[in-house]
Amino acid sequence: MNRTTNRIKNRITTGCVIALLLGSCGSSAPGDQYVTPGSRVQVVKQSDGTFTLLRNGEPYLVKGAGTGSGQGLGGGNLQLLAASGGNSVRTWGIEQLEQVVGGKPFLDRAHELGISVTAGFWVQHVRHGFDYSDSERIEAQRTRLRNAVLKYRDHPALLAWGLGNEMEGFGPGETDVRIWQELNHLAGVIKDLDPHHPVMTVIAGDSPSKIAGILKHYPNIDILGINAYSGAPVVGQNLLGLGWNRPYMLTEFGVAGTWEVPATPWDAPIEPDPSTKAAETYTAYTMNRDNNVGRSFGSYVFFWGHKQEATATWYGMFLPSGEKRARVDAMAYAWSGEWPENRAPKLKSLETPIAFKKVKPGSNSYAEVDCIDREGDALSYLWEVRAESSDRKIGGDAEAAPPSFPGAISEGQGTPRIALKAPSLPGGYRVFVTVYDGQGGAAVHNLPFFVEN
Amino acid sequence: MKKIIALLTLLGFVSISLAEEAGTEGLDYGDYASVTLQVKAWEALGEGEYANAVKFTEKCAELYEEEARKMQASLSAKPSTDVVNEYWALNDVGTCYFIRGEALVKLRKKSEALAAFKVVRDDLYYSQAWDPKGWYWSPSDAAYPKIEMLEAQQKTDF
Repeated sequence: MNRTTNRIKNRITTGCVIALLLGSCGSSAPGDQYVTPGSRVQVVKQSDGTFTLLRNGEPYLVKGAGTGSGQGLGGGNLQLLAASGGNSVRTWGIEQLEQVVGGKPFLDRAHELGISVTAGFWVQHVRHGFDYSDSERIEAQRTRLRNAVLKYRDHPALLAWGLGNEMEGFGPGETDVRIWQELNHLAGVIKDLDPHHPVMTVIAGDSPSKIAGILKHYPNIDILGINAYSGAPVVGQNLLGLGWNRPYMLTEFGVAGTWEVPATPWDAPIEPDPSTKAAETYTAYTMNRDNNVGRSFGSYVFFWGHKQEATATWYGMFLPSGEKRARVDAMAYAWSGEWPENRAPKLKSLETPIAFKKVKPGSNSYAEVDCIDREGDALSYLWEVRAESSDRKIGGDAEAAPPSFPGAISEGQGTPRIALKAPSLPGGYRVFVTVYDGQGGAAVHNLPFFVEN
Repeated sequence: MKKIIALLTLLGFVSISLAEEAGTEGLDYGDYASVTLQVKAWEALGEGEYANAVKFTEKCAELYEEEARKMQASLSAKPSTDVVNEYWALNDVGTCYFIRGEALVKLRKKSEALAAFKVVRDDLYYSQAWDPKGWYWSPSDAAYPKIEMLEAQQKTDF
């Protein structure tokens, strides 16, 4: 037991005695519900102009993942993050901290596993109807923030406040300076109530107008969070070019975005294969880590769960049923330098002659997958034909999953090769294959095709 | 009998050779302008016609790479958006090398893809590509992580 542990024990005891005297030990009153001491996190500028993130006095590099409610987050997934060498998670909305994970409140479970949390506070978006000239709504948002800070500021798992996510909009002209000014005010509210945790605000990409707006109107920011996909590996370099030489984190990264890849003539983005996705994720992580020491405080890979966005398989690192995919293994390798004992199956190829093609309704074809398991586990196969998503959104807004057409798998379900019968309704489709190793790992891929009369 | 077999074999070779030639020459290169070839290469890439995408990029390089390299040599910084179109050959050939890299990855020719991306990063690094959404992007910047990724894939079994 070291001196720090003793100090913590002493503080717990003292804190509990005081709390008992006040009749609040173990109560859920905001601000004093945690009997362990809160974390102390600082951004320190070094004499050479670089920055260090100190957590409880120790340098801290975030090896994190974004995770969310109801999207494959389970106690097992948090546990797997810790076992894979990850040390932090990022949430989007404060209500996520109320989730019960592994039988415990989210923050408690994270703390138990040695995982820190960047607690996201959802700053409302203009594109969702928020109006920055509506003083009542602005005040209501400020009140919600105050309550959240008072409630969670003393939790030992807390690493930083994630003040807003992509609330600034996406295109030229969509950036309203009032957004930066209000964020500056909100960051000031946090700092007044909780001087022990830095404030990070997350924006979409590293566009010059956004960086200029933050530099001019948002001096209270401690850490800039950037969500970037294809451009993720070079975010640090881009930020320097735009005059941002302060700390930042890569707050969403992984595979190329659906808007950044080639698309079919019917506008179906072509999803990269699992190995490419894993390599892309690994490369973005290592390039950000290695090329930006002293400015990047680390990263949060997207997305430690599952999510329908263009397809059911694009960004999620798990299946809805909980199996991990190759990107989880790639991050374990990136974080710890070791591959896990059991790796997800390796999908070598998925082929069908109708990929990217237009075919007649009811026409016959086939699809075939070549997949191996490095540990020799027996593989099982699930094929699906789904309609192309007709509910595409921007900014990660919730999308409905498109319908499945089981009748399109005319033979061979459960095997590496199927006979396919094109659906009768014209439109875009994808043939998906999921390969399970029976040991908690899976590989998924899909190819688009189009049915036309 | 042996003569017939030899003749059929010869005819077989000739027909394969002609088919390959037709595959190459059968493509519609439009007006052969660099921008046309670049757009056709993007379209082929999006349609999953990866071999054709490579051919469009090859044609673009064959016709315009010399000019592109001259333009690159004349620059000491990335051209600003008001003059970017003056460097049309550099932009189109640089973009074509990027597309070529993408298509070769899809064709699982990763060493050749790496070479294509390196041309953009090392030789044509001031090229810029227009995104119809309303901005220019740098094929060189985009190639840089692709190179890192392909090199990681060469070293590591993902």
